[in-house]
Amino acid sequence: MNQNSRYVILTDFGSTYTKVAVADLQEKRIAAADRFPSTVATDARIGLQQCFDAACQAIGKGEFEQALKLSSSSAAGGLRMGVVGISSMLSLQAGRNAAFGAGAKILRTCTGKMTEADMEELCALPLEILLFCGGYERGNSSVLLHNARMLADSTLHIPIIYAGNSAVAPDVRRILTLGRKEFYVVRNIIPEVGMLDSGPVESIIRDVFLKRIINMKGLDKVAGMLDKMVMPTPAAVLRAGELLAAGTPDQEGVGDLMIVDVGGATTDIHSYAEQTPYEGAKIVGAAEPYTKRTVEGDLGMRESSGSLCAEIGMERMCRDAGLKEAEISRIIGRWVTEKYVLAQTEDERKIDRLLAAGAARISARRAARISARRHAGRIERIASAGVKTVQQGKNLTGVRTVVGTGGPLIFGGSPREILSGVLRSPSGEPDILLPEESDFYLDRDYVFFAGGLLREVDEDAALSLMKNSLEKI
Amino acid sequence: MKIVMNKRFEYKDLPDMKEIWSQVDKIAAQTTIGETLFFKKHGVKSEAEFKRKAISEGYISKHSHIGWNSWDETARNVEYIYNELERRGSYITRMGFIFDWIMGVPEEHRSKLQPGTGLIFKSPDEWKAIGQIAPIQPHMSDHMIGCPNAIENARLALEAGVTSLGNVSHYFTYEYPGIELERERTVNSLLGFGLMGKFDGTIVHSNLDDGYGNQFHDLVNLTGWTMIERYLVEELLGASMTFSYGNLFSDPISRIVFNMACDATNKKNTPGTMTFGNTIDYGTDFSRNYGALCSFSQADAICQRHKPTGHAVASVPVSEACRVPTADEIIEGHLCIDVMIEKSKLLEPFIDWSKVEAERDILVSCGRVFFERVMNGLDDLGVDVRHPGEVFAALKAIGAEQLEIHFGVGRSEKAAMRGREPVKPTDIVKTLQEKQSRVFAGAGNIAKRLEGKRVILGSTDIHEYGKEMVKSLCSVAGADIFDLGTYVTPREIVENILETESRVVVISTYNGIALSFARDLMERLNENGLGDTLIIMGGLLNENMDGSQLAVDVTEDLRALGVNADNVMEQIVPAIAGAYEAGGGEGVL
Repeated sequence: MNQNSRYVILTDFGSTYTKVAVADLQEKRIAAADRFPSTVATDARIGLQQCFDAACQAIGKGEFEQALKLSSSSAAGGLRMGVVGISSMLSLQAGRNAAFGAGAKILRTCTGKMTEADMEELCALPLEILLFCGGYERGNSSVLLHNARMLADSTLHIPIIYAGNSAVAPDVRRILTLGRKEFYVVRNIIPEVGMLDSGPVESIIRDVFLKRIINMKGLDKVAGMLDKMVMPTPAAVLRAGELLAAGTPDQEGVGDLMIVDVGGATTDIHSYAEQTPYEGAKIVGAAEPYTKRTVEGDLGMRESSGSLCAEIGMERMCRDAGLKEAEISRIIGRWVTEKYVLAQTEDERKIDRLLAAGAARISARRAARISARRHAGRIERIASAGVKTVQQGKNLTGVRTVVGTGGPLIFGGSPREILSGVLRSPSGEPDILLPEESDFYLDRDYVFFAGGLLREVDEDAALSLMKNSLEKI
Repeated sequence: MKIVMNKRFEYKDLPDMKEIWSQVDKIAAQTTIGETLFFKKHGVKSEAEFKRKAISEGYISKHSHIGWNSWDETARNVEYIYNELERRGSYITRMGFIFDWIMGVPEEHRSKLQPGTGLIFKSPDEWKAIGQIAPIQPHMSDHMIGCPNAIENARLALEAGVTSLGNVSHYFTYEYPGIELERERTVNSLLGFGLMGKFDGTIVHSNLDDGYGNQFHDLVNLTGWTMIERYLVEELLGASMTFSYGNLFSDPISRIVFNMACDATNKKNTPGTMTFGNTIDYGTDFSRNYGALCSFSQADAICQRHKPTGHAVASVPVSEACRVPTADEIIEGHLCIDVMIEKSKLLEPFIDWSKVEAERDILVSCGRVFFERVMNGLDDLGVDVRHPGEVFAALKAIGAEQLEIHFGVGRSEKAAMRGREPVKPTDIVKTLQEKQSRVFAGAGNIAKRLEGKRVILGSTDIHEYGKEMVKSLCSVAGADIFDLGTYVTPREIVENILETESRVVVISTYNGIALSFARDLMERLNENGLGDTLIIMGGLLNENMDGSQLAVDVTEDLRALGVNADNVMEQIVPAIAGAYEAGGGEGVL
């Protein structure tokens, strides 16, 4: 590694592909980009070597050796977390935002006093980190102590991050130590009414992730080939979007922004906008961050093709693809078992497109219905609170830029149709705080992960190469 | 410094001032100031020109605000009032016309608002007619500059010969529900102020009652606020401005002091528009209202005798609090204040002006401190204080309460509202302070009574004085307070009980929804197993039942739900302590 090298090699271990982008810091653009079917399940080095060979060919051996090599990873299903809070609207919501913001996927949440059943479910899941929060400062303590005891007595053996009321932190520390748990204590995520302090939680999650990933089977062997495994892929994309929206001191960003990232296993929605009250509404619930990410699990492409197909409806799939049910079932069946297979024939590409459109439709539906309470905010008129409207969640009605990224969107076709699913219908969903109209762009060169990694080294170059990749659709 | 910016749009994306000025120049080139009958009669080209002349001649202007909803009725009454006052040896100088709120938004958005009862103009000719009814100079303040349709309205008004236009205060507080045009509103207001600045004799008017004037607790901060508005409108946008107020002062001398404080920073010698009446002293007894009318109009007239600023003395009909006054009631008011104006010259020499000036100097010097603190604070927040649009939007995003909490001049005091002891409390706050000392005296020794005990506070509407008073009591009693602010919802309360383990929630309510709020809250508490939380409600415990217009007392219904509805401030601390003692002091969860 050489600090003055002209190029940075940026790689990403995804669940479907291992991707590479070679950033030219001098020209502030992508010199080369490629992707290869993921080999994480067998030997991650193979895919990485293919990436490196491609990079080497593009810039020559000398430059390649000099270049800084950074990587992100979402392999093996990404970073899987559980979140335990007290109330759903305050501590749990703050905890969820922090976990998503650090690039995690949330498999299970609990509120209030944990029960044996909660504990059993948590233990049965392949969780990697548990975020445990609740209570303002000087607020609730008994629920926290109860939950600490439940966790201490459980068979859960993953790192626990405590970000609740600091008044009971010494007790929580004692209880978890006696339960022989690995834990971290950070500042209260909701120190007082209306305040949010999620920075320490997010940074601990990323640290734990990095420790874990370099010891992970399949990826442990690649560490020597890289300068640094920097962060989970979703966190890289999230940081890339943040840079694209806000800009650098020398270069303007694009302003308020939403990103739809249809991935191999999940669909992420990111938004970058200051929280604003919609038409002067009163804002309730946990404070919303400028940079917000939510993940719609089980909506990604390959691994969940089966459930997706079921949601879209086989009848519709047959009609839209012009194929017989048996043929569709055969192709999807193969994709579910062999994750790395690409859509090759025209029939396969048709099904791929239909699934992507279906995934976006469903993700839009979730953004408009369920995620009206999760990602985009929602307006409520509460009779018992006078005529005032109440807003919970983030107001995204002012966003006029929606960018799509992720393989299925970039390579799958019909990206505009897919992205327009984030818009709200003014008559049908007047209370959902999503934009009614927007411009749509595609991350044509598939470089957002690279932008997020490169941001660590050179913000201006990172921003330029993302802007160069944007294609209006 | 924890300032929450309730941004309505990204003000960093506003056009730069070069662009604004080039637009202003374009609009100004196409605008000519119209001639009203008033200008013709007095041989002037603007109201400011008239007022300067009037000041030198010792003439005191007189004002009325009118609000009839049809043009025909308006024109007929204006003409009648003018002629009748002339006939009876009186006069009226100017009149404020009240626009319908839909005039505040561009044409294409008007269908989204329910038209109210004010005037609606549909063509430039209709605008022009306003100065041609009688030689009374029209004044327009509502839904003009400061609203989304600012520039169009300003231009049409100038063309019609209306040279005094408001209302800077509107920008900060008036809302058009369902129409979110904050960016347009900001840009159009900048253009409007800029346009005014291009014409000599125009006056930008700000009625502080409509804006942050009503929201500040400390008059010195309000004085500093006038310096901020003046900085924006005069220094950055090149216009000339004046301030108006009315309901802020019940004390006649305060009106004089505040007028002189505003005038201390009037470097351009811009004549004032008018001083509104103090209608807070108005009730249903018209005889008493006459007394109130005399009290404020005499003070305003004395002020104009001593240090003429051009502010017209307003006649507020005694029926104002009960109904839309008739033309004859307006005339009666004018005849009444004529006597006050006449006698004011006899009183003026006997006022101890050095005392008044000393009071003024406190307002001005503390106001300057507030001004500086706010400007430095904005700078720290990354606001470009040379871009008026950024400053307008940022000040609105911060709001009066936070400005006062973070930049206020009064000394820090934990138990005080907004954490500061006002240097010169507004009359509203003075009344509350008196009530507070009575309450504290009645509450006895409450120190440490609530130590280690948690209390959630909230208000169901915009009113927060009741809540603030409970907060002071609880704070002195040593409670851990979780203040949910105004417009709290039942769901929010439940979630906060979960996070805090509070056994007590105190709710202040004034908006006639006490019972439905309590029912909703109790239901949610029971659903969440929090049924034994003590709910204390106070304020106006009433509700409009079965569609009736008259709100009825619901105290007994609240008690039936298990709510503490005693509504006795002095008993709140013991009630909270009791809830904890009954529950053994432990949390409910």
